[in-house]
Amino acid sequence: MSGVFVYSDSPKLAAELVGLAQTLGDPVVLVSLGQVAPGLTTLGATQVLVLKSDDEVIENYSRPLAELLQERKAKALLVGDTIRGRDLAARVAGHCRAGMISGASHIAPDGGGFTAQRSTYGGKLIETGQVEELAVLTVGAGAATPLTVGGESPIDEVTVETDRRVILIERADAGGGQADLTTAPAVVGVGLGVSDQADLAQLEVLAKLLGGGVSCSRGVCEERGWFDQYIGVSGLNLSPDLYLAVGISGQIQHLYGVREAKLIAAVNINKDAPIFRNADYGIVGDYRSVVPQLIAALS
Amino acid sequence: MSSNVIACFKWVYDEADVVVDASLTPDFSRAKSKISEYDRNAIEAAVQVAAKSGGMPLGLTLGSSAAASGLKDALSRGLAEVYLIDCGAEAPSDYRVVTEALAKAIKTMPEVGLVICAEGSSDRYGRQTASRLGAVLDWPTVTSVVSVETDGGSLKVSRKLEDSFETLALPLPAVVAVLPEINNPDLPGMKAILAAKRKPQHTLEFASLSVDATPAVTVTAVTGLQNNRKQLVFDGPDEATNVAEFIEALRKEGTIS
Repeated sequence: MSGVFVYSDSPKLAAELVGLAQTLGDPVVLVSLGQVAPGLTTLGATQVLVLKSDDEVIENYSRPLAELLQERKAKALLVGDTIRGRDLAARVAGHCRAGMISGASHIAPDGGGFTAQRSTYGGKLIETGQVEELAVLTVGAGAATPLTVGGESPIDEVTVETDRRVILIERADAGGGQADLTTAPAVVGVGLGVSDQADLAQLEVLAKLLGGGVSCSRGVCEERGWFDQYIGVSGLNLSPDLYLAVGISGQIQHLYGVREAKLIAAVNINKDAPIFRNADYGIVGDYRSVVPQLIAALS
Repeated sequence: MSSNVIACFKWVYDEADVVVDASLTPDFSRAKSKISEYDRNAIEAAVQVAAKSGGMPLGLTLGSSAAASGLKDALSRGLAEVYLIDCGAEAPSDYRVVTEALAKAIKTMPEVGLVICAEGSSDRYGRQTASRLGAVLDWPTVTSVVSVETDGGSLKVSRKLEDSFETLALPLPAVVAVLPEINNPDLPGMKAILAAKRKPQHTLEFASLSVDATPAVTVTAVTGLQNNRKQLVFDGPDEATNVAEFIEALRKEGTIS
């Protein structure tokens, strides 16, 4: 079965990518690694392809996945742009000698392949690339909407030998109850302008009212250690409906991490902060007085 | 482990110097070059791992002949020797071509136990190099690494994901991609800069590696990003009014109900 293959370790992203894949080719094959992940058979894919193994490290499936893609003459592999997804995708591309565009947007069929755009130089430039079949593309959240068709996708199960040289010793949740914000509809970003750790509680309340969670700039993560993860080129790349930057000056490396946000809003005491030139809406003011007012207005 | 540790690094344009004009055409003519910021962490990681394991920290880069001017900088950061894959007037930027060339070069380098890359470079940040290189070499690979411990012939690494940490074990030789938070390299001192002048630099001709130079992705256009953000800032004398107008704007957008 040729067609467009889809994989994501995030179920929500997998649902969106099935929607995107349907615009790019037919059939749509949704890949599940290890076993059938719950909910995957109702996302509207033509087929769910299970690479069956008890290996918990999904990157260890890259070679058998690459072999199956080649065997089944896949046109493209769309992978959710998470840390694991990007890694797996690049390995598959390496094994297949395939062209890969990471963080791809504006994907369109083009002759025997696809064109797509990606952001470079900290978000200053947009590069358009053309890639032949088999194209490997990683795509962030928000690029497409899930399909609403009902019914169960048939399952094709293939037992595979994974590469077990990398062994998982331990997996631990990040401290502070940090949620995965990859598919959150709203994210509040905390910058070095937020001076007191005690203020995070209020920002959490605000984020909950907006339906999302809290993350931070690299400076806050590394200098203050309040969070394990941060938003930016080398950190999280998020695409929420709303990104609210609080006390964030707006360096390009940070903005790169939210370049796909539908709306960027900012609260900053400095009216000349670069964040305002890169935001849709902003309030100049002290977050300690602005945030309680936002909470009151939204409650 | 007394095998050598390679740090891969890239000589890139400083993204702060890249100018985009009104027609969204990028202008690199006044851009200075530098070792990619994130690769400085990869170099430091290689220096630290090699110091503990007894191997040599070696640098490997692929670039145009102009990248030779970055070799001394790399050596001043603690590497013992550097290797440049010299591509002549223009270096390929395609990830397939680059990783297949790096893999060929690594096979010519002495007793390589570990290859350390950054997660991405500060120019294109594609996050492909380490994973592809591991696949091409068929060496075990881990990305998003925040700590590396060596133990004889194996490696124990800690890896940071969106919402969790993983500890993984893998045999050598291996490839890892490190995040910038793995270390905080000092600026090279005068002694290190002077010592760098005496350290060996090796050049490998790209053509001699017999790599397929056909790009897997053809770049058809590079343009400046059009800033489409509305940039509407509420900065009136009354903060309560600013907040109310801000909330109203988000409501109109449908972002909040």
